[in-house]
Amino acid sequence: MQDKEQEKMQQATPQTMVLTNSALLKYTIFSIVFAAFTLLIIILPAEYDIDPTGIGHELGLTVFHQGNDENADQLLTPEASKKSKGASETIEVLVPAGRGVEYKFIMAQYQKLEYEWITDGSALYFDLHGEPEGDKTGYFESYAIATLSEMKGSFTAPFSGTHGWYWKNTSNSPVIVQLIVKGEYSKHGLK
Amino acid sequence: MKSIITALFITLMFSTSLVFAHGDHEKISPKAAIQVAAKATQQLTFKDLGFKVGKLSESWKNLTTDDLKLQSADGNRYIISANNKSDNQTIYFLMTISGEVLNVNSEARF
Repeated sequence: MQDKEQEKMQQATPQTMVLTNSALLKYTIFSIVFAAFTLLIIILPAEYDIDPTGIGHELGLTVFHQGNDENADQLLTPEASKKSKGASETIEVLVPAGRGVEYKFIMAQYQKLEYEWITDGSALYFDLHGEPEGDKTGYFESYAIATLSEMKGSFTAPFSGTHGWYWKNTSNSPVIVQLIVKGEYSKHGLK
Repeated sequence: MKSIITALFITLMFSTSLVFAHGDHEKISPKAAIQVAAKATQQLTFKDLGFKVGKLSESWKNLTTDDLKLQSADGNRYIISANNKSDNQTIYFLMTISGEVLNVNSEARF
């Protein structure tokens, strides 16, 4: 009976693993090799576009760097931006005194938009949000809400639909917003 | 031996965290710097941003990236020039290596 209890006690006690020096050295070398492999195959292609093996390109990791340089060669005029989704487009939106306007972009799910906007005067209340395509319930998802005179950022559309800003001007004079965008969208305009 | 391996392990741990930190936030490429200057040119046609050049005329809106050139990339600063052929004027952007525009001047001296 006592033997059985002792056996149970031994089973309940956590086992301690003793590593020898050679085992520690082996695991350390394995860690170094694994880290070097990860650095070469994943981190360098994804973070720095350095892909000596070509595996990073095959895995699609270098896609993060595609378009960064080629966009610099594009024109900034609206005419030119229509030719390429990678070019910048500059839009000016008038927000009348005491009123709000909504400027939206039609985007498919997972399309990305980089933006930067400034006002010519006072700060505006805004709600950067998206509304799903075909939705009639009035549902929308807000990505950012604040009162600012300038903002810079990017977002990826979580669903297909219209995505953009509602700006509200609570001042007594009209405010113009200059919006510079670059990304993937089919159409844009006041809603 | 164990202490050497422990020290090596700790060093590797810190090195790994440095690898995963996004160092790209500290430096942009010359082409990206030209893009920043191009965007700043558009903004300067819209509003006086407090730089020496003030608000630029409408003709600056028609600039292309071909009109923007990297003049120097010394130390931690980029100097980008923007040439408005229609007005025969050139302005210069002084920006940090991370892309923050510090000054915009009609001369390359800052």
